[in-house]
Amino acid sequence: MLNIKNLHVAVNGKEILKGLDLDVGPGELHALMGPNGSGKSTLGYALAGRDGYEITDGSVAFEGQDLAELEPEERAAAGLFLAFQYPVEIPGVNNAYFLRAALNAQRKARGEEEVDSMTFLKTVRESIKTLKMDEALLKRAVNEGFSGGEKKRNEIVQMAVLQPKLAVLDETDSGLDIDALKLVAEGINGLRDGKRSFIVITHYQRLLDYLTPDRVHVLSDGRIVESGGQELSHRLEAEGYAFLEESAA
Amino acid sequence: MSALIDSLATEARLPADDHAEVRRRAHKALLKHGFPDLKTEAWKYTSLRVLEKRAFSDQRPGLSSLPELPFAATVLHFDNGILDATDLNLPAGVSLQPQTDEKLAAVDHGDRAGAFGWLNLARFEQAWQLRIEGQQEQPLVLAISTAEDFHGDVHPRLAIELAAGATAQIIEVHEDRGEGLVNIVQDIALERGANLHHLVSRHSAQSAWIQRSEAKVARDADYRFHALDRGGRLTRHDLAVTLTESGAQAEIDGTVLVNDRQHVDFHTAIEHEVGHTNSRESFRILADGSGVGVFNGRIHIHRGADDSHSDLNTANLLLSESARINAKPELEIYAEEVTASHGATIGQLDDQALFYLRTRGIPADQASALLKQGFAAAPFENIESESIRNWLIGELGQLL
Amino acid sequence: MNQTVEQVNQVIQQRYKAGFYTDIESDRVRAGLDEEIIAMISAKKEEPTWMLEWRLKAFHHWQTMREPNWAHLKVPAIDLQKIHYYAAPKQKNRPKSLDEVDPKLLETFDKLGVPLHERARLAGVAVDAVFDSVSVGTTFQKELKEAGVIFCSFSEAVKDHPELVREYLGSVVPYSDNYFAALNSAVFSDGSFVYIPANTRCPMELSTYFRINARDTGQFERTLIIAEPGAEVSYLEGCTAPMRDENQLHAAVVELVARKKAKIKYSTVQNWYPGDENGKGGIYNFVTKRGDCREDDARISWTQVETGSAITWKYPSCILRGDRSAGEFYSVALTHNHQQADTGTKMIHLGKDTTSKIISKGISAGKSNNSYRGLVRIAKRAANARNYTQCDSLLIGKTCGAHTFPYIESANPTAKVEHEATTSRIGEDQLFYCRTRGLDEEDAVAMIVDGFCKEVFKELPMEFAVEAKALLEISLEGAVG
Repeated sequence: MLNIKNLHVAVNGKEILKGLDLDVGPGELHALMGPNGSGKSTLGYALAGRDGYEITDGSVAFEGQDLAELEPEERAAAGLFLAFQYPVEIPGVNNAYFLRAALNAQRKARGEEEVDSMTFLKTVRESIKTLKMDEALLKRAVNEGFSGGEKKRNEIVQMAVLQPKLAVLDETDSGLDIDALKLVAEGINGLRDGKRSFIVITHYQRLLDYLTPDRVHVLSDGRIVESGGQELSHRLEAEGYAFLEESAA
Repeated sequence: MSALIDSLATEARLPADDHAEVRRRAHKALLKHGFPDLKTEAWKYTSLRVLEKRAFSDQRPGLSSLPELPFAATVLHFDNGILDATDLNLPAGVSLQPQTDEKLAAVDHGDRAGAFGWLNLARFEQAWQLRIEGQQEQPLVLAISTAEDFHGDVHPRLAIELAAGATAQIIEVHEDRGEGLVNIVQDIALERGANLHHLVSRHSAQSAWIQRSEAKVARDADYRFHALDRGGRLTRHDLAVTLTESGAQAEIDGTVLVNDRQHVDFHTAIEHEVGHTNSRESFRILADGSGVGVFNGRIHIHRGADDSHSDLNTANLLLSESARINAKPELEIYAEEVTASHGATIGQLDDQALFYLRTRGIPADQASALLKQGFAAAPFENIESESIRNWLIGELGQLL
Repeated sequence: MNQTVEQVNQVIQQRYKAGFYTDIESDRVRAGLDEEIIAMISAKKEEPTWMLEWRLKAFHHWQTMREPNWAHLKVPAIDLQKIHYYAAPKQKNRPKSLDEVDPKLLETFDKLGVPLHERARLAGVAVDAVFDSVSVGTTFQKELKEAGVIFCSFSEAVKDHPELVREYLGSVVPYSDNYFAALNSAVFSDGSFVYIPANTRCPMELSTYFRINARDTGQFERTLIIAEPGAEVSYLEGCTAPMRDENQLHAAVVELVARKKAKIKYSTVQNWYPGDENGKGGIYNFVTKRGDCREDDARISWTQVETGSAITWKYPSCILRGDRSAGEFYSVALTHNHQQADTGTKMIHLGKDTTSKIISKGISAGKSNNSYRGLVRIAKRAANARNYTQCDSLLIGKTCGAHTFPYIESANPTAKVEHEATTSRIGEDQLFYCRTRGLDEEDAVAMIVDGFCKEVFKELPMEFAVEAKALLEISLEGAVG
């Protein structure tokens, strides 16, 4: 699904990712942990194709296709989804309209039929229900005036509607209370179908309690320094990131 | 500036009718003050050169077409700027009659900044007075349109009075296809507790479109204004709202779109003459191509107008290399117990938002159109009537 | 209660502590403005011909101009023919050092808190003292010379560094710029000249203290600061005048030139006599101050605390010509009684990636009117220019006015301009809160005002911040009641 080899990414001329390797197979859920400033969000942005996140070396292949050659919307149409750590507010743009425009743009790019509004509304309503959100949010502008938790859940609604092949969730758990956290986890689990893959970027282990990741990676100073199973996240929770110093030495 | 006097305001052009006295006074004032130039503070961003180069013909143009509207309304059609008042079917509570000379004799359009007001008073075809009583459910549409062969100058003059407690929606639809001058003067008065929602949707081709709207708002009356201006060769709208008694309030929202060879200048002023008055204003310009947008928004809280509150916000998008935006929000405060604020920005589409939309699969062009649309539509989101809101937002969509 | 009002009034009367007059014999030209007077001024200063010619060109241009009327000010007619354009304390010879300066003059500056003599000099600050039309002396000459810095009176600069003056004079504010700048260019008498050589950080703060003393005179000084590539300087000016019933005109011009990577910080504490509580007397302060970030990465920062003058008309500006150059404007303007101020700045963005920041705090009390007027212009070629403006006004009492007139002009689609303005009064609840904590009303007001101005005060050099704060407190006395 996703093959990252020796990835170097610079932001404003400063190298943040310094040779990252990661392979995510179909249906797998990988957790990416690490201290602040280790480059977790940079990876998310680099995968999604944000301006100013320059790949200086290495490669990223998504289903064999070189991601660096694609515009952000082409990556989305190819099946890549990024749930933002800080979802952007877009005043004046209606949430439902936006989501339908996004879905149809992706379908069009893939040569598929546009969905009619009935089918669309049905899908959205289901996801909204799963995440226990208020349907009135659909009529409001994208993320505008949403609480922190609503914004994060809205990202999951979008993921459910857009049905990506690979979803990168950037600290979707931060700022959520335990009930919201469970809802988000349910949303993610509901989309696990053996084919769809996930990279869950998180600072804490608590979301992983509900997700059962296939692999857990620890990112430090732009590289993956440790990989393992779920037990690694427990170890991190217990010991903190201090042990990284030792393993790096 | 004498070029304009010569082409528009020679004595020979004063219509011969029973308003001779009123016209002569206005003409004298116009000659005394002259037309504004770039040194006139209120006109520093808008040159009248386009107009100076024009010759105005008195030939009657062909019939102009009435724009189609997706809602039921009573329509007053000013064909090439002139209202044919015969066979008007006005709803109960609405009456139309000529203004009296007594009223016209008291008009003061000030110095050269108000030259077009004086020109209108010297040259108006008919000065109408529209009086509205009771609750008017159906909107009243003032449609001012011009035909392709319109090369003249026309000076519609209209007073609008809302009786105490009256409620109305007045929607102005301005469609220009000509190349002349349309010079409108409106006097609006809201008596106690009246409620007026005043909307303007305008698109001008080559005509200079100059409009002065002055509204006086009495105790507990509520004046709401929405403007959607889709550009014109030379458009200038002065809107002055005076809150004359306590409890009066005003809300102004507007969006201006300008593109190649277009120039739109909106000057608004809110006068808080007395205390316990509130106002809010939000105005946006999107300038593309070689368009020029000007916004001057003034809030004036007079001495003693304590406990007044006012907020003005203008956000503007500069979308091309050759477009220009000039914004001048002004506060003039002489009272103490007030809160007044304004904010102004000129910038471009938010990179973050653009990127966010693209990560959801929306191509860059479409994403920026969507953002522009959202930005331009925001001032209309607070319109309660869904059909009118959708109509205005729809008008935007056709352009962006 | 009545007694308190009485006391407060007395305090107001006394609040202008610089209002004394120095009795010194003055050498004054006759009143009036014509070519002869200009030639006389030039001759008294023993100027070269090119300087006189420049003055006359300015004068002829000025004759074609009209007084500006766009400001939010009521300016009574000023009879420019009644003013004496040159007044200087009589001295037998030009003093060669501060030791030769008339002790009465030294005493005057002592009293103003600006000691010039060796013993009491302000540590770390070199001072040029200007009394009416002439500079009476400049301290720390030797130390500055060692660093290659030139800091002297304008007259000396014309004599000793004519090549620099000729190159830069009028290069930022041309004599044709505006009515008052043209007038100044014709009749300016003295002022300060600063030259900082390349890659030199001026070893101390430089300061000029302006004092108007003589009756019926105007003060027309000119300041020119040149910072060569990589140079850095911080400059301060202070001003006072005796209390008089007549209005006196002050029309100065300040030009700053910052070359590549140079930094100029210019601070002003303006305390010209503001007139009495009935609006009688006071200085008309019509000043043109402009800095030119002439080359890349230059920085110019203006900080002003304005409490004086009957009328202030002043817009310290930055022309951001060099790429990545930066301009800043920090201002506190306080008006009381019948004072009028129309002040602000202009930020003209011409170069790429230029930035500017404007923080303006206006405080109005009494029957005064206080206006902020600012222009932010983004030229077509100023890609990625950024401006942030914050303008706050505070009203004290029901009879004053606070106004904001920003002009924002953008012609570049990659530029971002942001402007915010608020007007409010000192809140009852704020006052009440302070008073429940034991502060009296006046202290509470002073404290709230101080907090309101903090962002600006922190830009001033330490000693001046303290002075500015004290000045504000004195100026506000009697404002609440």
